[in-house]
Amino acid sequence: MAHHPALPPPSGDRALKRIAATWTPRVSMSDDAHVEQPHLARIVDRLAIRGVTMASDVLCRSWLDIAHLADVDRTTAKLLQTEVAQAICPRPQCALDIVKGKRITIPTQIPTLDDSLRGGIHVGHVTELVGPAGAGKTQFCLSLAATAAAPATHNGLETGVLYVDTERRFSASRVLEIARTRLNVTDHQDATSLADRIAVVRTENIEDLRSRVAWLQTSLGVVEGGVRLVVIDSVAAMARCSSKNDAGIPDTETLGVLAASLKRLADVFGVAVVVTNQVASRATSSARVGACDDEDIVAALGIQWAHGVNVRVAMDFQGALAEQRACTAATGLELHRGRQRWLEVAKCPHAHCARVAYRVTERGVEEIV
Amino acid sequence: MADDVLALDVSPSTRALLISAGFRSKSDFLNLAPMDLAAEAHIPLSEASAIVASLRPRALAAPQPLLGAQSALQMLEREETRRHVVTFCRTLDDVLGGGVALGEVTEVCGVPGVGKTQLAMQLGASVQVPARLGGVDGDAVYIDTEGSFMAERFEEMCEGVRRHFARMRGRLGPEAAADADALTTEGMLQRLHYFRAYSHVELVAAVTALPGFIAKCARPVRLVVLDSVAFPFRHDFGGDFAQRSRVLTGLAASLQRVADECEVAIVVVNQVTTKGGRPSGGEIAAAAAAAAGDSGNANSAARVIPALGETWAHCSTSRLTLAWDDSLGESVAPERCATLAKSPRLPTRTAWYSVVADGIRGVKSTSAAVMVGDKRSRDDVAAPAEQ
Repeated sequence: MAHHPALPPPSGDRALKRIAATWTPRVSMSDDAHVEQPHLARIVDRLAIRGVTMASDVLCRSWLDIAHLADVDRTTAKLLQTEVAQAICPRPQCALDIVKGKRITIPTQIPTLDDSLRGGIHVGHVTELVGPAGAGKTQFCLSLAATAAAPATHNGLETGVLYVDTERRFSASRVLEIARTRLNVTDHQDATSLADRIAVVRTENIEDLRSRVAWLQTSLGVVEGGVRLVVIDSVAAMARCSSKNDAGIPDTETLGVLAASLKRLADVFGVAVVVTNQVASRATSSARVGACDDEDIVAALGIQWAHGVNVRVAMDFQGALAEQRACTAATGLELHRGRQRWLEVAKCPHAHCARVAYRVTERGVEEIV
Repeated sequence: MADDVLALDVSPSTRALLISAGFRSKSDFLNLAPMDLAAEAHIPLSEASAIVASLRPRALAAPQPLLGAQSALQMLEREETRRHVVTFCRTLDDVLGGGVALGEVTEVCGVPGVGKTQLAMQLGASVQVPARLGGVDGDAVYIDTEGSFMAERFEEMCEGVRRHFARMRGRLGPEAAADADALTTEGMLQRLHYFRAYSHVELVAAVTALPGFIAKCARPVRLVVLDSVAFPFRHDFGGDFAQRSRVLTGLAASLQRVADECEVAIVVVNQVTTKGGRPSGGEIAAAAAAAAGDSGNANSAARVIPALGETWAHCSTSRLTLAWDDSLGESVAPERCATLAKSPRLPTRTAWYSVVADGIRGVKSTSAAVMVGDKRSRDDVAAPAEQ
């Protein structure tokens, strides 16, 4: 199967030759036991001449195609497909084993949210923060980075953090301020090692980020202490920069590939991926940001991206847009400062929807009790 | 040899006709259909059929163009005894004709966060309900392409199922009560087999290897969840839509075959996309309007439709669309609703459901005017067999 040159090969695909090499001279366990696997190995050689070299080439074709290409009968063609499928089929796990395996979470330090998310941001998931400008998304990310990198003696995870800063908003002094006020990291040595554990990458290019993510897979474990948190702030800014059309709509294909590789990274290497997304105003529809009713404000990047994230947390001012419309931009900003901020779990496979009032202080994003 | 035709048990006039048409030996009749013989020898079709039948070797005596055919009556019996996996929401079960049917492919689609994965996990738990409690007592296979399956949440739902039957224990017969006692959360967790597929290749491999896996399972598998089919197929193909639909059609055919031959319910989760308006611009959640029959803002908002296009739309037997229903007004929190959008035998109806700690349940509401079917409290769901 010919792939788009720009796309990475699909995960799990393997060369037929390598699969055939694992076939021992035993009789196949399948129902059609009269065909031996060495015989299949010869068919694999024959297929290679016809340019069929990958498992996906065999699986994504009909057996008719395979029978034609390899000049074999239908039973053999089907058997070949089954054997190849069994070779690259992911190994099943039973749910009990998954429950027993411990999941690491990074606490958000917002009690109600941590409660709702079962401990915080989960390793293995892609969590999205979505909200209007000034809602506190970056503050949330910085707090999270501080918690992840803080020493274990200060309730931190003492793990590496990769912070992809696309809008040049990362502030090391702010991270240390949050660490000092909230986690009580006052010792200079502790603060230095905390800062040392956060690697900040500045990139504005979605293609560049994607190749970095692919590269990360090979070097995540190399970073001292292992990276358990990857923050991308903000993915929307980056996608909007990369978009080719005037409407500011990112190329969904590129975004989809990014979402898929982020998920795989999160899952395989046990990393929590946190991305921030912007909102776009939309004058004519009744769409909503997550579950809270906010007319005319919708998350950017579209519905396909929204499907791609595992958890979505919406951050918002109460009725932000309705009043903003009535004000000039400047007075609107004034209004924002005095208004109640809300944080809400809009999509999550394991949480009940929660709504938390919060404010941004020197201690980062804090719940108002 | 030459007088084979003389030995035929036919009337002399027919024999004469046969001879004049050039028929001499048995071999002349070989591979000749009655129709052709009748035309060639100018004899009635009934006689031609009789001749062909008498000359056929014993093994071929009964030509069977209807081999394997079933009468509609037999089909009716099969349909009436068709088993279902309950959803634990009574109204939703009613809409689905008793639950998600075994032997069929049911597609579930909806906007992000509306509860597709929740419904899928709920089915993974309720498929294990023992037969005497009204269930199908089967294992579940969960093929996850999104990474959204949460074992902890699934555990909670299993616990919800167990608690439900523990509450009903007093109303059950002794055998059913023993079955209810035997349900444990741990046991239920053991009976869900989880596959994590990262790409469409792994997904196709998992589906191709599925019959072999089902055959090897100690207990019968009665449910296969594919959550979701859309995720790998929406970006792995680099714009090669012809290839994509070929692979999708092949996948759908495999799923249909597995559903029918292994008698499992197959639930395929699909995503949604926007159509019309501004193409895929910035819309996130919307349009319960379509499901609720509200056309008020149809011309302004982009329409939300299932992903993967028309090719895929033909692939599922039934299609259930999940959506947010905010037609009750601004002040009321929007409710979740499920509409059966496609079915070979059931009408298009809508059920309202909620996602609670125990899993998928019905909703308690008094606004019956907008409801289809009756609504009951959630303690009522999944009645045992003897009720």
